[in-house]
Amino acid sequence: MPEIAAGPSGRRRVSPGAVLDSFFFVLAGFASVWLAVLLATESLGLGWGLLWFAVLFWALLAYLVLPRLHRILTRLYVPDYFIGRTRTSDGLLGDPVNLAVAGSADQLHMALAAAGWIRADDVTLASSWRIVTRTVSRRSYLQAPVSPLLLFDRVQDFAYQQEVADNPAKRHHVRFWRCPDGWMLPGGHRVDWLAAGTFDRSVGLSLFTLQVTHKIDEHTDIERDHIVASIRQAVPETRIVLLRDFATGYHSRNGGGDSIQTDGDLPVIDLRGMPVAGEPAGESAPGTAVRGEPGGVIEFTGLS
Amino acid sequence: MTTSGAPAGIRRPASVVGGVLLMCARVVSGGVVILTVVASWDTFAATIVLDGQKPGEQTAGVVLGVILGVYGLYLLLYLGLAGLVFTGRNWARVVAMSFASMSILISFADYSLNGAQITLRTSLVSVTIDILILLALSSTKARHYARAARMAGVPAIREG
Repeated sequence: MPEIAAGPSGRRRVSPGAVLDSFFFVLAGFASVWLAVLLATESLGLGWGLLWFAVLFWALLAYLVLPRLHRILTRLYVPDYFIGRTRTSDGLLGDPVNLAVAGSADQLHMALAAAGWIRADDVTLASSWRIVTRTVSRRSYLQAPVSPLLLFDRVQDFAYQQEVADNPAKRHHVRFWRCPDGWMLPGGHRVDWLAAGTFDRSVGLSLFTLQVTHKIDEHTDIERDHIVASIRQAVPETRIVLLRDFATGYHSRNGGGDSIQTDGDLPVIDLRGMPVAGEPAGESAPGTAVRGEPGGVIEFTGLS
Repeated sequence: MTTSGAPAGIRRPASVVGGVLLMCARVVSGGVVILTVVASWDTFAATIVLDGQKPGEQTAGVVLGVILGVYGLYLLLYLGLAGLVFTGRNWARVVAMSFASMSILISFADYSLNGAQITLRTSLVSVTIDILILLALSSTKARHYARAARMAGVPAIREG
């Protein structure tokens, strides 16, 4: 999409460089479709060579052609503002945002570590190579990176996971994004972090891009409640504010085409009362916010 | 220090590395063509036809030499362009994408209007490389990298 900059006259103008970039972006999309057609035509005359050519064709389609087409189309039809869903790097709707946290980064990291969650490595060449070697040697990789998902136009700030015994295809995982300063949830609740927690149940092909990916369990509430329960157990100072029916996407699909079912509730995990080493226990000024007893749950429901 | 180029804080995305490698592959394949022609010089010289007539052996050699020289110079410039794309120059990326687009559009026109066959035996590999270069260099990450490099270059220019 062309970037719009304010011109000297105050009118908005589109920079020529951005228009050129968009042109090449779309042209490359069309060219890749043509390439797929050419390869498909070529493979018909190959006989026994068909097999490796079919693999090549799939790789081209899944990792270049379909992602580019999705990028072009989702820029046009997927809203760019917060709709309670993350987006994949191809622009498709990803895992639902089903958790929020109030508290500092230190409090969040300490709470997750205490609750038995392990921070995932960032995706780098080294960590990708480690996935390959650990898979081949059948050793577990507790800090295996998770795929990037975007919220607020940013990849997650960090992700945590829990391994399922001896099964690299299954894992609990939750991604966190820091909210922009002063940003509020729809409805006016102020939180510091948003998170998307889902359970990887197997490895399969994405419905939309045909890429190899983790398939998630469709009952995302089970994973959400597991994360909340693990933190509440480990950190007694935790308070929960439950926003009933926050999400209206009760039935949906994520970026890999997996079904999602949820009751729509958004638990806000309030860690502000948690003591951090070297700092006094969380703010306790009276009347600053709706506060309950430590360990308590406050529910916000609609007026009906 | 250069006045622009890769900023220290930003990692070079895989799409830029991939695009540059493909550009290098293109140069290498061109180099192989030149070597092949040089290796069987007489055979190729004999195929040259000027104004419908076969020129003398010496003239044919000169013509072939000029063609190869120009092609070699083009390959060298293209290699330099690949180097500039690698260091994050935005204009180099745009020029490289323009070359690839031109080549793709010409092939496509030939394919759709003249019914040219594009197969492994003819130009499929070359067209594939062009399309992959365009895909890689037009990606959002490649664009952000080149833009960031340009932004990072601005203060360096001002500081002189």
